[in-house]
Amino acid sequence: MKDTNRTSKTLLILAVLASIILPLFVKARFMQHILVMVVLYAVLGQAWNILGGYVGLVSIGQAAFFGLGSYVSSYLQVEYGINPWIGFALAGVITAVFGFLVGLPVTRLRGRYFAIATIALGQVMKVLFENWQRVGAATGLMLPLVKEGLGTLQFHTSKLPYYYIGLAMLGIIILFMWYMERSRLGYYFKAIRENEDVAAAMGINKTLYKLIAIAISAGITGMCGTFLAQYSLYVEPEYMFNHNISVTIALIAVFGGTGNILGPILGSAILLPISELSRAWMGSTGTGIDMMIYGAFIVLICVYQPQGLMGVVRNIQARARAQVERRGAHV
Amino acid sequence: MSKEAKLVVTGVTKRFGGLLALNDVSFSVESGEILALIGPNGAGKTTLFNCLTGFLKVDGGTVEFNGRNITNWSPNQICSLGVARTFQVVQVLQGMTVLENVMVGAYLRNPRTTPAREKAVAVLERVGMLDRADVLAVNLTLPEKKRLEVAMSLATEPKVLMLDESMAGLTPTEAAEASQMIRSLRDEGLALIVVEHVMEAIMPIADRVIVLESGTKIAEGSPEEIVSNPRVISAYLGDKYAKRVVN
Repeated sequence: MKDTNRTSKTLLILAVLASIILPLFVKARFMQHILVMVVLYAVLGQAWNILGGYVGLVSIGQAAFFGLGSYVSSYLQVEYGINPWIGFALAGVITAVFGFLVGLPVTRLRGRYFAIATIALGQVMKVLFENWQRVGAATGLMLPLVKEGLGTLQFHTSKLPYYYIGLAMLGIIILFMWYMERSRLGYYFKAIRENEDVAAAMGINKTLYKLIAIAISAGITGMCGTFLAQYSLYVEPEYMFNHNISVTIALIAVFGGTGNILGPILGSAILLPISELSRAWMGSTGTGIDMMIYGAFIVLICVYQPQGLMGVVRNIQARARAQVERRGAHV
Repeated sequence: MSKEAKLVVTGVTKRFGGLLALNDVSFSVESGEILALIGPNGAGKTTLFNCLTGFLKVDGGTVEFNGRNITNWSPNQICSLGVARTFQVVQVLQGMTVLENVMVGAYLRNPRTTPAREKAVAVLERVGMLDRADVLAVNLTLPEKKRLEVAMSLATEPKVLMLDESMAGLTPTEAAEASQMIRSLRDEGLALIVVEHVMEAIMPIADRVIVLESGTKIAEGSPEEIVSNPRVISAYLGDKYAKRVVN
């Protein structure tokens, strides 16, 4: 047991070092872009995971929170010149409150009805912002170009600073989830996912815990919205509230394996490069072959490994453990 | 384990559309007492459980716990107050281990993980399942699941424990073990309400029995009184048999 602990610790340290050092050697801007997207979607997948993987509320409308967050910081910056870091924090708070309020009616729905309601939420938010003159309606908002630096949260010469900020966000959310898994919050979330009636019979206020989950998930997703707004320096409803964002987020988490910390990271690290590279290499052929490759890959995983990539990892682990035990029996 | 507790049910009535599922049912149960709740299929036993624990809203009557009116409170509030239940169709958290299942219950009184785990281990030891702690609940046998359900309820430190057919489907030996456990829980000062079909198992340990038929309480008394009550016999076996037995 100690040996496996040491191996996993070594692996963890290696992974952290690799994620910090290796990107320094990536010079091509497009490759840097892929790295930024990988960490961004890893965080988004993690936020989805809290709601979908732990509590069992499958959301296909995360773009509602994502877009709202991007607009909060952008509007404050364009209209009042408020520093994006403050906007970043406010985006988190406001989307969390928004998630809580939306959750009041929506978390009463179970299973697929919850999913349908979140799809509707994403669409409603998009239409709302497309027609809201104050925030630029369909044309959106252009963020003012200012001197680059950590203080202004704008970087023009390299995309790597964005990567490291995203990586820091990912680190924080992983720490949070690590703590959550070992606390009452995590246990209660899982209990609600497994059986709502039992959860209630065990004294769990399931409505409250569902609202906590949706608020946390929405808050993190909103902050990611600010991140992308600062990255592209442009917000627009079709871009920020795009339904594809919602689908991709859910896909990454499910593809990687839900209900654990590693799944969404794996999902993002594999799915996003495939999506971005196939788009870059074949997207301009006009035949949609990039989407076909992307889709075929997802279908294959769904058919052969419904538990997601974490299922593959677990199988390998189980096989290794069985081998150790067999060897132990012979000694 | 628990202080004095008293659950008083007065005139509880429940309708499902035109069906009168519970009609003016009244009884009470106190610490250190096993109340058996029996009745033919469809008599309303489980409905009564659901009404008492907040899973169904009653249409009339009151439920009082230690003088506090808890009628139509939500299930989690009622559990927090100290009234725990198990389900007729066994309900456990399938994807979690036995220990985790019990920890979920233990977290109610122990918000921090270490005390919650210690409590859960103690409860598992109490019901004799410590050796199964790391097994996923879905992989347990039916008797084990039933015992786990009791353990989960016990981890919430209830004062009143309501068991819905926790012996159905058990072998005679297992049922004997279960009734031994129920008896020792009573001796520790719990109030127990036990719904049961297995008469041989429940009658020897019950202090009092109430009988439901078609939503109405038709009899209440000691086990000896109940088995010789003509209304109870006719409810179970039909009027013809009742006449034959009484005469």
